[in-house]
Amino acid sequence: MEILICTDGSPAAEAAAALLTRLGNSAGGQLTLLGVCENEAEEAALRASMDRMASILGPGWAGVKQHVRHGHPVEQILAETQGQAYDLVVMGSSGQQRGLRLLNLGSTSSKLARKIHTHLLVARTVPTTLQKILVCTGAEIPSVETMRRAGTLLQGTTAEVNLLHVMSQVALKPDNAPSDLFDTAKTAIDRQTREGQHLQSAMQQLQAAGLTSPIVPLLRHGLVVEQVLDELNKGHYDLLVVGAHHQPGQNRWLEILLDDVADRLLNHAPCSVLIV
Amino acid sequence: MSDNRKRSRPWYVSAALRLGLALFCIVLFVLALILLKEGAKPFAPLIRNQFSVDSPASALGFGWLSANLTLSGSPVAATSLALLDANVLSAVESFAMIAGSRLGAAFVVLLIGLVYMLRGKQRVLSLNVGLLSLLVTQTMYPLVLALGFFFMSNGWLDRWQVQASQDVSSPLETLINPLLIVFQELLPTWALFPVGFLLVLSSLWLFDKAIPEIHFEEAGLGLLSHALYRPVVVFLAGALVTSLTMSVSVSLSLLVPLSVRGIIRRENAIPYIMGANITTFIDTLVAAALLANSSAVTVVLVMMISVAVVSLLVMALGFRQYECFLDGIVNFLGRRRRHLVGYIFVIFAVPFVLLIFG
Repeated sequence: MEILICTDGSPAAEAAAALLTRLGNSAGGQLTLLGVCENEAEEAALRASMDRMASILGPGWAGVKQHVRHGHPVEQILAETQGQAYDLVVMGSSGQQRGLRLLNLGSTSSKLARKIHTHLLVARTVPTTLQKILVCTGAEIPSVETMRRAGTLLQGTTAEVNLLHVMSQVALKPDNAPSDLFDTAKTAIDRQTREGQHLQSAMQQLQAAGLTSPIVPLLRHGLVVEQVLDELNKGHYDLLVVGAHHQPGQNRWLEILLDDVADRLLNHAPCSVLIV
Repeated sequence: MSDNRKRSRPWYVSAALRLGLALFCIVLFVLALILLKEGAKPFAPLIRNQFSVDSPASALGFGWLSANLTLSGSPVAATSLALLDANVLSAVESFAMIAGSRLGAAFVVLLIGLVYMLRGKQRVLSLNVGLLSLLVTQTMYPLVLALGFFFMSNGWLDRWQVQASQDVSSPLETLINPLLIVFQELLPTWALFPVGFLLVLSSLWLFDKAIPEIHFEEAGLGLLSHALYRPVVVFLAGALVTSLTMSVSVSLSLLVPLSVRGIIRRENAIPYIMGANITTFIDTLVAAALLANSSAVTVVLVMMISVAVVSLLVMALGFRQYECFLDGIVNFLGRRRRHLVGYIFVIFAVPFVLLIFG
């Protein structure tokens, strides 16, 4: 596995390195530490931070390369990922907001999530051990691939994994509200509704991809982003896993028409976020 | 048998029948408006003195209550224009009555919900798009009213007053005048008003039947049939589709095929309703144009612009918060039976209070 860890020399980037070690499955892969600074004066501090990150990551890697680029972080990271095929890009969420949040121009991580063509792990409030992971599934065709890749990336974890699907539907008429709108995960699976079948198949895909932790299916009703955030807050999760808005091969018009749920979750989640 | 006949009918025959029905509805609608206008004058003392409709607040209550009772908004809005044309209401009062008609338009949703609730299915109501439609209107209209009154008091739209063309109404008048004479000979003047109202109601109902049944094939839409759209996309779709159907409820019913199970995502329903709320006034605008009354046209345009401005502000500045707010209200109403009963009481009591004390 080729992994790129991006750093601006901030403590958040160092926390990202710590998070990677806690995922458990990445040891043995090829690792590149990419430092990005806007001018040469910052380079010494950046290299010191990269050394600290290398020691956090430990000796278990097949190879650790260090590389410094100068310029705008988003442009430089994108240039790096275009030059070499990485399986995972890791970065810290330092809270540095570039651009107007109101216009959804967002942070560096947010901009990268919209443009990058590989999995992105954004570290935020990293715990000493990963205890709870929330995997979200949209019950759509792309989520099959999301589950397979999420299972591969999480296969070394021993954390409790909860699999969440949110039903935000309302009935068009009061006389045709299907009972699916009142289901829990258990009743949906028992009754084999579309959501129940999907949860069941998503669990199988995660397990087939190598996830060994027990998986608990969850079904919530309400606005998608708000329900996911509520689950994160109430369940005290350490990591959120969501599908990317940009999917390889997806129609560009479809991408424009669809709401970018991953971006909103990335901006509002209280924990680290893995976008697959 | 009849279904087979319907299916085997060539498309051009169906189209011609629908067109014929639509034309008949237009003639009926114009006749109804003229009857309303002719019959409104004897009702002036009743509306002004007995119903106390003598201020914008009481006109708001009157429109709201009328829509609650008739279970429909558009006929009440058309009536308010006829009352304006007959000088029974002022322009501001007519504006308030139209706003009231929208506030009570979806009351039927609550009545149906109440029936379901009495059958012990209280949660069903909280989960239907009709309640969302009612809540979107009720939460946005305080601002819409404030903005509309502001526009009208400053006369900002007067310089763009659209004069309804007499040429448009003249051919219709040659057709309608003989019918009007028949009604005038058969009925006392005061009776023209209720008859006109019933004809408006009937013409709009029939017009809904004339609209072709549009079927979005779920399979053809792929991911779009299930996924969340960007709010602005759905907002524009709601405005566009409703401008063709001229009815929020008909427009919403077109969404049924988007889900096999008759359900739609909250994230899509709310901006769709917001968009639909703007163009639902097209039939009222047509009514104003047919009355050839520039004040009536201005009143409807002020309403449409006010709804559009408030909707766009909500979309641009706080759509997510607004969405959560509405979701919170829906959940609150669905949580306890008494919450829903209280809500029904409030939306019936408020227009009464406005009518009596306004």
